[in-house]
Amino acid sequence: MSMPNTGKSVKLLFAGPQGAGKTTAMSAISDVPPLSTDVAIASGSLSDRNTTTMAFDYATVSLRSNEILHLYGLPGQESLDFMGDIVGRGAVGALLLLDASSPHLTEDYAYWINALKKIASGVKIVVGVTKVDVVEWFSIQEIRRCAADNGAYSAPVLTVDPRDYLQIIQLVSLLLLTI
Amino acid sequence: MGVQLATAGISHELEIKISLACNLLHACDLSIDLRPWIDGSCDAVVVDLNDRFGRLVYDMAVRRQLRILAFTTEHNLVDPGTKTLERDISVVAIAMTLREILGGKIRLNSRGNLPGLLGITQRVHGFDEPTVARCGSLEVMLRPSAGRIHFTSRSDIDAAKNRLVDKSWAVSRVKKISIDKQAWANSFSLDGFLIGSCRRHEEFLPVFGEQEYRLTVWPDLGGLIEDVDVLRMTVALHALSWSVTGLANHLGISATRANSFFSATLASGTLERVPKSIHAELGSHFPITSSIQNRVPALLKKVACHFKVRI
Repeated sequence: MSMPNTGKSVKLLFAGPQGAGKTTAMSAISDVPPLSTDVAIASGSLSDRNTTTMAFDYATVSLRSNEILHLYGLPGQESLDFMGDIVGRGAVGALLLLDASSPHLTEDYAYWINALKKIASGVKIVVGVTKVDVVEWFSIQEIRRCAADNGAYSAPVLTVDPRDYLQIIQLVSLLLLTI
Repeated sequence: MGVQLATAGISHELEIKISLACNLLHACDLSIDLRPWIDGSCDAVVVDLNDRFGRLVYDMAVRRQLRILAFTTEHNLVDPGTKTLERDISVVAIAMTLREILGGKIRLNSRGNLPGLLGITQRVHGFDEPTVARCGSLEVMLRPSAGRIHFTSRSDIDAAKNRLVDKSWAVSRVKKISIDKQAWANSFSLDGFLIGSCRRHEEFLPVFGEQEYRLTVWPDLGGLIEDVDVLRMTVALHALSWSVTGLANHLGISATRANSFFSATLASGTLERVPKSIHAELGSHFPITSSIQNRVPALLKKVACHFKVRI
């Protein structure tokens, strides 16, 4: 797959841990389904998903005047070290999706905020917390506390459903307004 | 003692609507004593002009120069100073007309106390313990520090929104151990619920003065889809301190709209009043005249346009 010229285009990143809904969110707003590098998860995995993204997802949104918004779904932590610099270069913003049902929610938040700052310096971030409905007693305070305790970048945090076009547009809109 | 409002020639159904409208106005500290017309000792009257007695009382009220709300379909047959409505009008519209007749908007008091469920949310801000608030048979559970609100059924959500500023909300604190989590399974962002609900009651919320406020935490706007003005207010108030009118002018939205956002975020604890000295300091770092549009490249504007975002 040839990489598009991002010099005259806008690049948005979709980041977050495995299963947070990056590919789903990209699918919700892209013109065509993302080109994925999903592979089957080995049997015995605790997750109820059948696939995971090994490298990255790529999709586009056609703007007027034949210009393109490029959407990149970053890989999980294992592949981020060698893929991050390439995919992150020139990105103007990132949607960080976090899985509310994960026992590592706050660790994921801290890791991805720092990773995004490292691979795309100056990038603006909006955080979407997914799967809130499957958590019996969800609290957004944990993430807010984590941000305050670590002195982390103060990114907006919203609860979202990545399958819902309008909710992903809301995240993208907020991101655009913060740039 | 409140405003004396007399009714004449009003049907039972309309009387219920007027009574509910008066309850709504109670929420913004406009106390109305509603009773049937007896001897004309009242501040204002509500009459139905299709009723003979209502018509008679209307003529007396015009002569005595009382404030009048008349229900009629023939709007051109009444005195020019009379407010008219049709009988199938909503409770909210009746309340708004009554408030127009009886007095202006209520200002937020010096302690910044908000009405109804908003006030309860404001008082329990920061509490780790869940709080159950009741309004008649309606119950909601607030988890302020978690930023969540819970309901026992989906139909209660809309009912709670409708009664947001009702004065009969009462509070009872509960211990975590006694909560049946399954019973409170319908959960939403507290910020999102309050912002959406305040929008519904924006005409009845206390008016913020010229004091400036700022968001100290990003509110969870989950569920507030297709509302770019909320996003714009959030970004502006997170970057700088604003008064209601200042923010409304800056973003080109109505002051009522901005006022409702201030009410919701003050209640949830994400908005804080900014002392003047701090505002001066902030102003030196973030010039208020700076426009976001000056910083947005053309291509980003096209992206915003594609997603119908006004920046």
